[in-house]
Amino acid sequence: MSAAAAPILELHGITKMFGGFTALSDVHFSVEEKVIHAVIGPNGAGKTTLFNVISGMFGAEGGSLAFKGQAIDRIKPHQRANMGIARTFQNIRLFEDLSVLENVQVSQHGRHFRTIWSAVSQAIFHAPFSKGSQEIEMEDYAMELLEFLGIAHARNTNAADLAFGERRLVEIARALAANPAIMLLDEPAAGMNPAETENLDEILTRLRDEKNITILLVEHDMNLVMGLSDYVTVLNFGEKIAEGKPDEVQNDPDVIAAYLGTDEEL
Amino acid sequence: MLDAYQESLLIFFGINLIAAFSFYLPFKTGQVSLGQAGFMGVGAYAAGIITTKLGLNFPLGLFTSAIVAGIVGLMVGFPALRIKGIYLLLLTLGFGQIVQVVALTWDYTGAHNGFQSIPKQKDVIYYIYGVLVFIIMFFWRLERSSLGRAMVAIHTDEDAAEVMGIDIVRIKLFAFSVGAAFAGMAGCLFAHMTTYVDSLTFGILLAVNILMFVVVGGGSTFIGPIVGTTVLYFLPETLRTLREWMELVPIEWTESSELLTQGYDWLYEFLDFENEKRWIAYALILILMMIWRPQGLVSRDQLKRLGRRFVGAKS
Repeated sequence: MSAAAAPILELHGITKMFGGFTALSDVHFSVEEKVIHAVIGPNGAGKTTLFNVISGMFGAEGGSLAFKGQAIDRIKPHQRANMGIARTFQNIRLFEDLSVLENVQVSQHGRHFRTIWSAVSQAIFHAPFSKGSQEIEMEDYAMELLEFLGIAHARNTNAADLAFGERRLVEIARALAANPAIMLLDEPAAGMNPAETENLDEILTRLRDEKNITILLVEHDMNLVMGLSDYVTVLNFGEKIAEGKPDEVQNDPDVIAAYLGTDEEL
Repeated sequence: MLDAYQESLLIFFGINLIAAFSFYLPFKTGQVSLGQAGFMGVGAYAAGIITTKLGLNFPLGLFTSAIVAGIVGLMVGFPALRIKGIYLLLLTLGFGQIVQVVALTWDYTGAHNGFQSIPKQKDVIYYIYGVLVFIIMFFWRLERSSLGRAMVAIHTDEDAAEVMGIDIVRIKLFAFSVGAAFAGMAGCLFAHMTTYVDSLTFGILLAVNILMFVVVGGGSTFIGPIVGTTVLYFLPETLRTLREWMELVPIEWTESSELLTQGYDWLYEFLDFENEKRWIAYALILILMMIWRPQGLVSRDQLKRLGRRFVGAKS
């Protein structure tokens, strides 16, 4: 984490409007490589909107985004994913009709098949009863990730039939399968019990330390955020009100006033 | 072997099944099209021009029908990308209307007199089942591939699929255009069986029938359209024969009690399915099937479970 390293993700003055409502207003910050960077703020602060802008689901009205030093404002969502920006959803959006394994394989597709023709020829033009080397490679990698997250036993279960905590882990596995440089995790601990949260804490740490993945984390569980994060950015009503190391942010009077209410709640 | 009636049943069954598959492919990516009858019309007229007007051979006509319908499919598919659900239904319905109006007014192909004296292809049944073998192999492979998974993902949640790195635009266009090409071939085969088509041949009723084949059969595996088309195509014919089945009951059984005799007579009267009543029964069965299995008669899930039972619990 040398200070000289270029940030992996830079946001310059991002503004997002919904009609007359300003969801994000001139948001500036950058995310250093191989860190866990949390974005916190009260409900409606614009955190999920921020993720939607970064992943390309929403276009922004103002400002610009750079990933690894390259402007990505005009790049389509699926291309951003294939460049190395993966995400999960707050309101879990798995492909319910596919098995866990297939869910994870889906996000390998774009990386393996850059053009529709390569995808079609892989599908149609090879020996009818063999899986093909690419398919085997994709399956092996997906299994590796499921084992990493401890959900390999559920590989053939339909996503719709999983327990809640496991569904969150499948979301993470699916995002991981895209081989991301940065992962945007939208409230990964929401609805998890303490044991599951502890497990998640360990997984995220290992992702950063073993797989060298940068994590941008939106989370309401303050114990998790403060224990895990290297850096914290605080949003309120679409504006950045503070940033810094967890202990700095915790003691920032603006943050306490706007978000945390009182000191004791921490 | 087959008598003429049986052969024509199999021919039209095959054509309907190709049409059902043409609906099924774009449906896999979440696109519901009422334009498949229109694409059949495009294929029928394109192939008709090749064989009737230019006097070229039938295989070339079949090939042309697929290519032309596929290109038209690409053109309709582009605006269709941004539109979903009921609006896409209306757009494709509108496309079908345009095809009908062109067929009705284009003098070159007979306008309101219809496209006449298309050469009858005597061995059309072999072409039909050849095309079907090709299409079934296509789906069989597709549904075991990465592209097939990507299509299911798009069907389930398009936006999520896109941020997982799936190029939804290309895949949806591919599905729509290839589906249109299948429909075009169905239209060509139809025209060279009946030797006559006009603007009414490929109307809304046909489009809705094609949709029903897939919805009743199930849209999550290619077995669905096969089952759906089989059931819906042969059901009216089967209803016709119910009385014959009743006649197999020995007369002594029914005469053993007054109640049984009355019941038998009443049922025999009721099963008078030679006429329009058959279609009421058909409609009722459709409604019941949709209540009983709204996801269709067969689903991918079911087949997977079945497969695992037979293969054993190894995976």
